[in-house]
Amino acid sequence: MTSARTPDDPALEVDGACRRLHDRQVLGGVHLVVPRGALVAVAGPNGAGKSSLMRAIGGRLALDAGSIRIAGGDAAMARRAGRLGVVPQDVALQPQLSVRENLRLWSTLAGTPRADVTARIEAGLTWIGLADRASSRVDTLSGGMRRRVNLLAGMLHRPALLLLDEPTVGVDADARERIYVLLRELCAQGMGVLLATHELEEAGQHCDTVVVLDAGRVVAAGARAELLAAHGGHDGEVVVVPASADASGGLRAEGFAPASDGEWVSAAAAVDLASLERRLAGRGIAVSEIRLRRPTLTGVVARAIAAHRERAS
Amino acid sequence: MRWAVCRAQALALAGDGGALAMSFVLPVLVFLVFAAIFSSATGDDLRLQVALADEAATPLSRRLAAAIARDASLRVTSVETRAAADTRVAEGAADAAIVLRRDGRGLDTLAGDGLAPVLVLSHPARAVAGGIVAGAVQRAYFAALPDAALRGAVALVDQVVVPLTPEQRAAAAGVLDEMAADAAADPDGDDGAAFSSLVETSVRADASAQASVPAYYAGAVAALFILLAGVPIAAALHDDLASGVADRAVAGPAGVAALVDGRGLFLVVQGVAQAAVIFAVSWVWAGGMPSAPLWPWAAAAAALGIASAGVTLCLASLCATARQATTASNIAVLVASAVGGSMVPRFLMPPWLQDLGWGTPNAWAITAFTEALGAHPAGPSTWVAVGVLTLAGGVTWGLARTLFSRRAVR
Repeated sequence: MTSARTPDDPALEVDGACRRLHDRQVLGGVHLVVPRGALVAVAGPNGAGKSSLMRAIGGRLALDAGSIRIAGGDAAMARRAGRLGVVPQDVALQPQLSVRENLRLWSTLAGTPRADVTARIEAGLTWIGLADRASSRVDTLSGGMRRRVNLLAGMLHRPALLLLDEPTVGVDADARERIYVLLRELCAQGMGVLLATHELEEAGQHCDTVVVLDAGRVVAAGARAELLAAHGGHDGEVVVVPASADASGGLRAEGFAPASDGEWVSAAAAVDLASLERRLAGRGIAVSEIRLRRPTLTGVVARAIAAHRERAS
Repeated sequence: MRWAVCRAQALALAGDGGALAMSFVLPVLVFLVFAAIFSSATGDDLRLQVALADEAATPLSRRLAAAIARDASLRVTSVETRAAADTRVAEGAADAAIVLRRDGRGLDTLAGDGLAPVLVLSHPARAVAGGIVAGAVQRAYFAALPDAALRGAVALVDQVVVPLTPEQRAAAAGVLDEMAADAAADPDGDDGAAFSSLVETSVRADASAQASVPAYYAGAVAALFILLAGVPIAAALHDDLASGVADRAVAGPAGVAALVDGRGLFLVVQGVAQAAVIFAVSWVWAGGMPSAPLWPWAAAAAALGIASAGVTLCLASLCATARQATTASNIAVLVASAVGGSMVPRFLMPPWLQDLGWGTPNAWAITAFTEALGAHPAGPSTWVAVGVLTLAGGVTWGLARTLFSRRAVR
């Protein structure tokens, strides 16, 4: 039985989403909630299931099991009702048409009331700072401008949930900042925003929650500070680059864990690097580099994924 | 929502000069070329290249050679020998050759042993030219050499039917000699000595028949180009799948079928516009508008647009990639156009190919257009053709929606 929707329903609830594709489990029981007004990022390595999850929410990938609810209602119904907006990774605009013509096309297809289309386009163009380029053909815009138009085309119908696939890929730092400012403003209006990204540090800096996927499963989720705390992040960490992989047993014994880029990392308290180096040498481990650094989200996520894979194997 | 996609397609076309030229200028040029070729191949403007070798070199053969040279349907080049004539045919310099044999029967001998006095040579690739030239030779013979024909007939009567008396033979010879002298003195004269033509050709001159002439060529070209114009637009559905356009469409109330429908609507509108341009030029070429009402023509154009949209969208949806769709659809359209009469008039095709043509939209479109403009009021065959095109378009369009939706959502 479907319960009545309420304004407090989350923008998105994914419950146990499973899908097997080409003999591979691309989604292995994903649980995810995007509250209204929240900015949530889905991160993970290539093949982790980010795109599959986004496609399943967007309606292009059917689930074998599990459910997806958008704004408290069945996802298919919500899509038909225009409660979902999608901003694809590719700039899905007609390059020969003007900015305004593209926005008219997509807002109409998304179900924007006919009487509101023109007003929303003009307001939206001002909002993304492209009012003076409304009549320009899309293929004459810069990459960052196209990204902003792409974003506007996905939300002019004012959906409850906005999906974005790699919204900042291929744009400069200023344009990225601008896009996140726009997304924050959408969240402030009550829209739930879910974006897929490879840019973990950027996501951790701007998003309320980062959900880390690996092999179709959620391996970590939380705000940046929560992820750092939960997965070994401290005020600092010691990074050791060993001369050989044979030293793994000794490094583990010293409390180090492998990182994705070949380094071994350990939480740092008040560590004496010279003393550590001597201890490692005593274990027969010749290190090529040893340093102290502030922890990164990329590092802790890599460790979380590595730990998950170890458990799985 | 479908109209939004249709409108976007129209705006994109308006901003693409190359696509506009391909859709509207090229069909007109091809129509003009096809019309010139088709009408000359089937009308009075046909002039075959003929090599003529008068090996006999008798007074009669010279008169026949001169008569053949005067035939307006032939462009005659004289050569010395049969071998030279044969070479010209083999090399393609002549469509056919005429040899007035030295070793054949006389031109005034209608029966008996021996080789025929005239030999017509043709190439297998232009075999039809041999028949046309043979007819032209016989026409020239009876028109320019009536005395020779009658002399042969008298001899035949004398030998086979009723033996003539010496007096009768002498009288006949005198009259025939006189006739020969007159014919030789005035080869173009019309003094009643030449055989009257046995066959008279009459081409219908009423307005409806005249209107159907450009309608055939314009319909043939319109069917070809409306189908061809649909191929890239339908194939671009695959770009929608890859670019994120389908992501947006699936996520919205319009659904992915709106992409198929929008493109289909655009193809119908574009098809009617293409047909209008091609037919307008055809009417200018023919010297005036048809007297028949235009709404049956409009129905035929819309039906062709629907069929073109359905067929090309369905073909595209059956294929896995845009490239595959473009290649397969172009091949299908070109084969259908060849079989359906868009490249060669169907009445020139063998019966089995004409029957096969009914499996193509081209044949039905040509029928719909020629019947719509050639009959007052438009006959039932117009509406049968319009119905077939609309039904085929509707079924394939529906199939395209289903197939494309399955591709978009896995």
